[in-house]
Amino acid sequence: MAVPGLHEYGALLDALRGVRWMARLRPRTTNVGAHVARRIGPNVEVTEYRPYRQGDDPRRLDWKLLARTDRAYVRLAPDVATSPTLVLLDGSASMGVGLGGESKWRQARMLCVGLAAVGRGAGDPVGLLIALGSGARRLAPRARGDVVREMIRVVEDIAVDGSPPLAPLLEGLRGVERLVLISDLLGDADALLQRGASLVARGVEVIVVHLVSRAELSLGVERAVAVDPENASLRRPLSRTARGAYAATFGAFRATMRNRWLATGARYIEITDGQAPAEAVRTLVRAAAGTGAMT
Amino acid sequence: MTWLAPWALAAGGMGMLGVVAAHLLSRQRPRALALATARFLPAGMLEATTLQTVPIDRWWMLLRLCVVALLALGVAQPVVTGTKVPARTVLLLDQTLPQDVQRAALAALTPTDVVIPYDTTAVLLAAPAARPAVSPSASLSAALGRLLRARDSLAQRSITMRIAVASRFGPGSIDPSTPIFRALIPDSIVVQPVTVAPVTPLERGPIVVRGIGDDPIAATAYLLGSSIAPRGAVVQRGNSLTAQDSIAARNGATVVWWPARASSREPILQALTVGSRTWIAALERDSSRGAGTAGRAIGWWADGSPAVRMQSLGQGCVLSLGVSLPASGDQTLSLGAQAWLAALITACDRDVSGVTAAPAWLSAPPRGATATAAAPSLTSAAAPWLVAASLCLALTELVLRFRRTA
Repeated sequence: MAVPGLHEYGALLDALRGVRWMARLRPRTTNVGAHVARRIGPNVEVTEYRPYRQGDDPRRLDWKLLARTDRAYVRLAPDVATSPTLVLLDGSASMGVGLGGESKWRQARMLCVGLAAVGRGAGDPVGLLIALGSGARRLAPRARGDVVREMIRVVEDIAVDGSPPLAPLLEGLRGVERLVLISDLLGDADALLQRGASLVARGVEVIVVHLVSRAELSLGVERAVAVDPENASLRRPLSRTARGAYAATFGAFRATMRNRWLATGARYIEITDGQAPAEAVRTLVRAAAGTGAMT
Repeated sequence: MTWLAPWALAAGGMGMLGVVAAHLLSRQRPRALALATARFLPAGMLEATTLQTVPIDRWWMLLRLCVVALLALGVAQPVVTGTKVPARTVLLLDQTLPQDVQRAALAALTPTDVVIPYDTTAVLLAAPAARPAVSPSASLSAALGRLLRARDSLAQRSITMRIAVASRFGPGSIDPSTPIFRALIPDSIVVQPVTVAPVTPLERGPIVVRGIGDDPIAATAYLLGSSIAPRGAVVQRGNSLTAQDSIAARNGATVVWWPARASSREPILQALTVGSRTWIAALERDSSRGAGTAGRAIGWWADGSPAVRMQSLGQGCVLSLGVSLPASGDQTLSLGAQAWLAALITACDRDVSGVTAAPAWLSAPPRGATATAAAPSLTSAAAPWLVAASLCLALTELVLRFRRTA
């Protein structure tokens, strides 16, 4: 069965072929993967020996060394593991309605699929969680080969609506080593920040992708009444004189978000809808693996 | 065409001015634009009202003007009356009233109103009519009879008709036939109040003859003495009246304007009647004066054509004669001529005598009679269509606006 919109993602998936997205924090999982695991275990690549202690698994004894030297040593080597990744996609109306909304939602979908493809390329289980006004849409992290295709089908099938909170979706999150939050942070930003900080404290690698539309950055409309798509009662005059104050306020908001998320230990990346999706994914992967924030 | 509710036209005009004024006030309402980051815009006025020099949305304004105009026309209820006059007053005017009283009664009329002047007979407007030499006072029966004959045609040419009577109701005005005529007229009759100066005893004075020196009338006046004329009398034999004559008339004198013209042909024997006195003599009609229509005829030739006309002036009157005397002869000295001249000079006496109230039966319509043509109930056939057209246009605007915003 043909996946709707698959052709749109073909170029992106081709461009991201070979991109490696290494986990910044060592995963605690036991499944063998591409990332260096937090625990040290038996492996073919020996890094050190230590004397056998009571309670060690006898299977980890280096029997050849014991035979040659009659000393019992245990082989130690860093373990590799997978890093289950969950992409939390903001499906509120502000992500896809109004000025610049269409390109913003398209960029969000591209980032979501691109990150899933890169993660899946490393053998990591990839899941998707979409917050919608009509309820959340979930795809549990899986490492199957068609997970990207299924993800494409899901994101192409939904339409943004409502003003769903994101923070409640992060309650009780288990088995996830990496969390990618793709949002414009115009919803429950404070609650989401608090929940993200909690996840960071639990050792989850949180990557916040602040998606901003170019149209929102520089308002080019002469005269209009701006209406919040998530709150119709919020109506503000959009005029030339209001642009200066808007730019200052919006800039302060973005700076505040950036500083507050960085303070939690999470990764913060601001992506605009004007960036090429493949390049945006590469930037995001580099930033996620490095330190600090990138815009 | 007339309007049953003309105030609606004024209201509609005001409404149309209001529509234009509203379109001069530009209420700029920018288009709504969904913006996710709208919360970062500063709060301010969402609408701005400015005064324009040229109306905005002119097509909408035109549509609304049509709505208001049609509604106003519909409420005003246009009625096509053709040649009908919306309201007409028929005034029965007693010609024995003083001139200033008559002028005051006529001043209140409009050009479409009708006057039936009457004394011993009645005419419509100023139509000439021969008058019989009977009944010197103003007979209301004559006016009512004339009104009865003309009433149907007048009612057909007017929407509402009002009948008014201006009379002194002196002795002789009401005769036995007057209630009979009144009973035949189904309309109400309005009696206009007439104020006439109270009658005061008049002084007797001499008869002054002005004009030519050797005049046969002067001898007749001399024979009559000074006991005939009330407050004196002036016989002006010149070609025109003078200021002195006018002053004398205003002071109560009887001014007889009797131009002395020589007969151009042989006079023939004729009878000239004034009041109850008839003078039979060789006289000639002066067509330049006898055919005049100003004033009320009080003297007639034997064939009924007027020979003497009287006009009230102040407390007196002016009598105009269209009679030429022969150049020679003593017929003016005869007893018949003296009696006739005495009757002529005392003609003014009758015009200032007797003012009574109008009888009650004259005003009220006769019992059981219905006024057929007075104040008919009119309806406008075009009014509902105009209102419906206005509502359709208003509905059209609503539909267009709904489609525009949808």
